[in-house]
Amino acid sequence: MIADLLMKLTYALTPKDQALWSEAMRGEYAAESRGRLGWAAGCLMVASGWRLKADGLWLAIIFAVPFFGFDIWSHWWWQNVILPVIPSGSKPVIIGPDDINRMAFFFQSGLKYMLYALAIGMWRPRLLRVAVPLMTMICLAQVYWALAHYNWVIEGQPVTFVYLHWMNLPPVIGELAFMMLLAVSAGGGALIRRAADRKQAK
Amino acid sequence: MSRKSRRLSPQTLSVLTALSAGGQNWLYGLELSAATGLKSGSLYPILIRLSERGLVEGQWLETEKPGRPPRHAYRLTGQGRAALIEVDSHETAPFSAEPRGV
Repeated sequence: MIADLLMKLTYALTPKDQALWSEAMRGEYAAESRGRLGWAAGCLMVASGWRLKADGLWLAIIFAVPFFGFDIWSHWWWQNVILPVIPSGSKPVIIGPDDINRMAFFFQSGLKYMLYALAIGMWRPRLLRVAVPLMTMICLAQVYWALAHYNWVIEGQPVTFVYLHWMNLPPVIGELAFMMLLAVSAGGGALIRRAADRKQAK
Repeated sequence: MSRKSRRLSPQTLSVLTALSAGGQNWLYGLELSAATGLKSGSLYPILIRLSERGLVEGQWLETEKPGRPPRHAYRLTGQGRAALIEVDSHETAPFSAEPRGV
């Protein structure tokens, strides 16, 4: 049962150029009567290696951008876009009481997620179905990590996993709406890329 | 001795030796695994490398049991046999008294 699942995962992870070898491993798995789990685990390891080789950089970028790139983006945004235009008396806080700050935060935040998803979708359109849930999980992890870090290190409060109210929506709906934002952006990126590829092929 | 054969790992050599012992017969992955003690996670990357180097050739063979997928079987190529002979001759060569790097 578990072995079968591992073999299915192996098959799903196998890049096209290694399909022959994946079939070869599957043929032996079907013929194997003892130690099927060990055989399947080994096959999964091999397929994971192929996948990492094929998409390792893509995966690394997907993980790295939210944790490193977003800070740079936010800093740039506040310094170059928001601070020059907000009224001089207004405090440059991230989530301020005034509408300008709140809107600016909301806009820069949404824009960075959209640009990130758009770029990822453009880069590897064929991996869209993997990219969207992966980006959602990573971005949510980054947001919760940032909040926990802020509470613990800066405020000195214990880390609690208090639900974050995305756009004041109820639990799960907020996360789903966030995933939809990423899905639409990544889908847009994939469409642009495919259209560009078609144009180039003509 | 060529650089190609010098780079062969003990695991790779065990696969070549097992294939060599099989002569002209086609050997399945499971048979190679049993002969070398290597699991699928180690065996297949080695087979892929050997195949890419042209030392091993593969062929799909239909199974006797219906409903089962065909199996990929392997045997040494002439080049593979030559590489193994080269490694063997190097390993059994008498110790050279000539100092190296002088």
